[in-house]
Amino acid sequence: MNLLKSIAVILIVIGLPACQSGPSPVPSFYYWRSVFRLSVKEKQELKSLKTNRIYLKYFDVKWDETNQKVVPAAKLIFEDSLAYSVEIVPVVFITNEALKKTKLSDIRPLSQHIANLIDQINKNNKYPLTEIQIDCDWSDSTRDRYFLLLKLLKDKYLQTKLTCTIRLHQVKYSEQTGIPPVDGGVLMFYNMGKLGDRSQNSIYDYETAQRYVRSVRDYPLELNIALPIFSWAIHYHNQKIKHLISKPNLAVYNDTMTFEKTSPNTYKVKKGQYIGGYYLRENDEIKLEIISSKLCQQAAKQVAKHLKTSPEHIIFYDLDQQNLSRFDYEQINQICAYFR
Amino acid sequence: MNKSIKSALISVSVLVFFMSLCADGDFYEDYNTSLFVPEIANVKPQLKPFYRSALGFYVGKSSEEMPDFTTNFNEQNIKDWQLYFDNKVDEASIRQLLYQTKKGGTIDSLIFHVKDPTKKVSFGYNKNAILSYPNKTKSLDFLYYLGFALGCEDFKPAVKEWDSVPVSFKNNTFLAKLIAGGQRQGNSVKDSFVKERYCFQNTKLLYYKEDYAGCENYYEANKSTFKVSNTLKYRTLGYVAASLYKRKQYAKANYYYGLIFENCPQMKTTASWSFHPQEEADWQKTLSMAKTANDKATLWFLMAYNTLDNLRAMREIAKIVPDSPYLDLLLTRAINDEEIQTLEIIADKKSNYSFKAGKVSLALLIFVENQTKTNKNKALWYTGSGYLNLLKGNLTKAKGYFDQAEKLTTDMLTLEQVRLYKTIAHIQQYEKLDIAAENDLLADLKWLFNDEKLDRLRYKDATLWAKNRLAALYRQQGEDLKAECWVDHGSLLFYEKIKNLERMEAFLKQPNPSPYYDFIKKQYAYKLNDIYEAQAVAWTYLGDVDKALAILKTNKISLAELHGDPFLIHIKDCHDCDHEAKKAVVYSGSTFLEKLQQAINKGNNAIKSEEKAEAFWTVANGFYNISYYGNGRTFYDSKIDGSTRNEYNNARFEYEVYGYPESTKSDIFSMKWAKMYYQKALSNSQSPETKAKCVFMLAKCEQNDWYMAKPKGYKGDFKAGTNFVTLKANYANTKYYQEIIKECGYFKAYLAKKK
Repeated sequence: MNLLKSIAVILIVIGLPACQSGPSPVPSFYYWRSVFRLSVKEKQELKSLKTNRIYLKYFDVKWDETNQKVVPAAKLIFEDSLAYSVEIVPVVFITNEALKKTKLSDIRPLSQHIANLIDQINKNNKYPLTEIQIDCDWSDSTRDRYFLLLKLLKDKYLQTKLTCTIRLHQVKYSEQTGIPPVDGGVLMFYNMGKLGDRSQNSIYDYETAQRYVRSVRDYPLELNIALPIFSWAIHYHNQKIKHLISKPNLAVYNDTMTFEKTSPNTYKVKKGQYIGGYYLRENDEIKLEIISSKLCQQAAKQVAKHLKTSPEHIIFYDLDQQNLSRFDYEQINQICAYFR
Repeated sequence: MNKSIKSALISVSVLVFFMSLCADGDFYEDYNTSLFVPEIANVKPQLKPFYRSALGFYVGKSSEEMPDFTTNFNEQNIKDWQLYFDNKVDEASIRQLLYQTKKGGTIDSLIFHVKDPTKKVSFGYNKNAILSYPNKTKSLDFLYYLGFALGCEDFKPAVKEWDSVPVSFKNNTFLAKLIAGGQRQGNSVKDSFVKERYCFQNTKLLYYKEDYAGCENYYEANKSTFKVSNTLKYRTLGYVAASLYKRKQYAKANYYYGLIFENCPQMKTTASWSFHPQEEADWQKTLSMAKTANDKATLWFLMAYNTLDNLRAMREIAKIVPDSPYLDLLLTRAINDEEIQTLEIIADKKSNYSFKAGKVSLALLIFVENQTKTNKNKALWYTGSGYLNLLKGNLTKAKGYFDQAEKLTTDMLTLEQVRLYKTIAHIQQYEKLDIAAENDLLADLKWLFNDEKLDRLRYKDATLWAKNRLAALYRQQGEDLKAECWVDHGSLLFYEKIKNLERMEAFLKQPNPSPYYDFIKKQYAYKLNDIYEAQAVAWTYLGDVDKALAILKTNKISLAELHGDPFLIHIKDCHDCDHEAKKAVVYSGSTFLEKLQQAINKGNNAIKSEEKAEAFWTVANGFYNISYYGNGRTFYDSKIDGSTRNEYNNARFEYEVYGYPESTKSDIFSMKWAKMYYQKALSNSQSPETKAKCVFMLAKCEQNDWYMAKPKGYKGDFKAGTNFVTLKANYANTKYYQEIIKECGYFKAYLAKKK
């Protein structure tokens, strides 16, 4: 009987999800600005968090409508170097449109261009290469081209880990969207709602996430998790989205001379004017979508429950002083602890 | 400049990033929808690119009529240098030196030759006219400058897309030396034309060196040098403004962009894109820097161009320069911007296609109406006031303005624009269409639909709207045939009903039609023969093949070819296989009907029951194959229904989302005749094999019927019916039964469940 009991105990221990044991993953970040320059606060935060990894967006790949060809854009300009040893993972964002418009026969030259550009940036900065990440919201129609591109990149970087971002709908409908031929994925646990929907936060919404999150456990790729810490303001003109104002200065919306608060997170513009590089016309509307540390914790808790194994990296989107102002480093560590 | 381009790229990439998240990401509006042609403002040519356009700059009907948007000063430079040489050096010689010469040896050889004519010049240059230009000092000044300018080109930020990352020249020692040399030369050279050129290059080099403060300071210290060339000062100012931008000195940067826009026609487009205030305070500061009312008006125009807040800018400009051409231009931009909302509303069924549902900013309307009192370009502002009122559904007021505009102009385009609006207002004014209304509208309708119009006039949305509006009114008052003439397929099933087809036939054949009848019949998309064709198809689905054939014969028409053998049937339907299979006979819809008729007659008249069964089997297969599930879908692809019936293919999908669409009630889904004839074959045959076939085909019909009425939320696409029970109970010993098991997964699964 005793023996049976101890076997049962062992079984229970073995059967426990991996997320319940071991050290917390160390927080890492996406860096998505187009000039690489860290503020003092950003540097301090990285140091306090002992962050040893940054996912650095090197460039975008997009379709140039005027010249009818695929081109790199927003290539990262380096104006700073890292004060201490941090591993850099190059990220390349590819628009789905770029893939849509590129012929299958042009994917090989595209993969070479991308690889060359990554190599050059690495060489200029003397970064060692251990992982490359590709970010693309591929669709049914671009799947073949995208997967070929990934395969060609993998052929080129045999010694390097190739990963890509995975969106929630790609997890839930993996039979249709396919599993990308990579060494691992990053589940983007944000941007899940319908952009512009007045009734919910399109960055993260518990109910919306709940519709997808159960499929995460069965996804065949090893997944790291990306969580949002960003906010934005959605600018509407005549009920249509005009801009997404990233990293909005929240204080300005309290100015009652300029804005009339119409709900806890929406504002009506009283007088046309320039604010923070954008122009708001009279009667335009602003909806703030903010990710607080509480919301981010909720997201972490929600997704952690559905993971088969503990993720190696929790990546926060994105590294920016303004985003970090709503999170202290203890809160970030707490969020990571959900993934132990 | 760079900064704003860069930030534009960033925001585009951010937008694209999220656009892919939402299917209906409507970020950018286009001007495919418009009833207002901005050219009626007739602004001066250099402002035409600034008419509202979704393509960046307005190109109108052809790009040739617009100025070159790319800022290329090569030709200007050649002209400037020709003037410098008192037009004594030809254009080709200057071109060769400026644009076909590499820095280094060639220029040295020319300098040596000018100094000592016995020295040889590089190959290809001995005929260059500069060698014979009498004033050697001037020639040498030019050549030294040319050598320097070509050296500057090395530092041009020319990044090849994929080949390299941007290179910074910030700490480049060669550049530092070049700048020192350039400044020295600029100071020492006597000729003011050449001096000016050095100043331009020196400012540019400081920008390349990322010494933005130095760039501004150098310009400020040397700006008095610029007095010869018309454009060079503003080209230089472009680099200064860009430097200011880099240093976040937005107010002054934007003020300079305003100066460039106002004074240098070639740089209007680039300046307009670079102009971008960040905060209201820096914008107010920019305004305060303007020295004249005109400069201020230019800044307001750029602000409106940058933000689309046309009304704010127009109000300000009207106060300071009441006759500014920017007012006319901004009016066109405001209208092209404002009209979209209403045009979208009235293109939607929900509005009943009525302009009364339109939305227009009241503040804009009031401003435009007030301007008609003071603005000199009265016809334009009257037209604008009329159109804005029309968009709001204020017909009487609109008409008043249109009458005024007509009186005040002889411009053909404006007159035609007004005619278009008056026509729209005329149609809009009727809520019911009786004979008097029809006769009253006829002339305008003929003009709108038949007459040739000026190429530029944007009338296509008006014709589309008029069709929808008239059809909607006719449907409202129960005149569906007239409605069909304007917009066909008020109902997807309209042309399946024989009664409708016969009414339409009578409508089209009406003797002595009134002029209005005659006109709308010509608008109708179909001809009598199309109606007959649809009648033959409709009678077939009513099971009356004799009538169908009689119509084809009387009217001497035939139906299209069928891609597969319509009498062939399989356990598993495979249209592609049937279409690709070699056919002994290729059937058209007509020959199909003939054989179908023969088979029906044979089935009815044969004496032997097996013969009867065989004939009815053929008939049943025929009816099966001309249903949605069969291999002969082209049978119902008549000219009338071809395109709309494609919508049936989506019927199932729509059902999942919206419930049963009307189209699922179409005859093409009906298994009625196939079932009846399979049943007849079944009861006439004694052969277990034939009977097994009939029962299986009845099972397929049964499944198809169930599928079209499948309860919402039912998992899977199949449900076994009574015929599977019969098959299992009575025909398990037949060969065909074994074939069914082999090929039909549903049946196999059914059997497995029953074990």
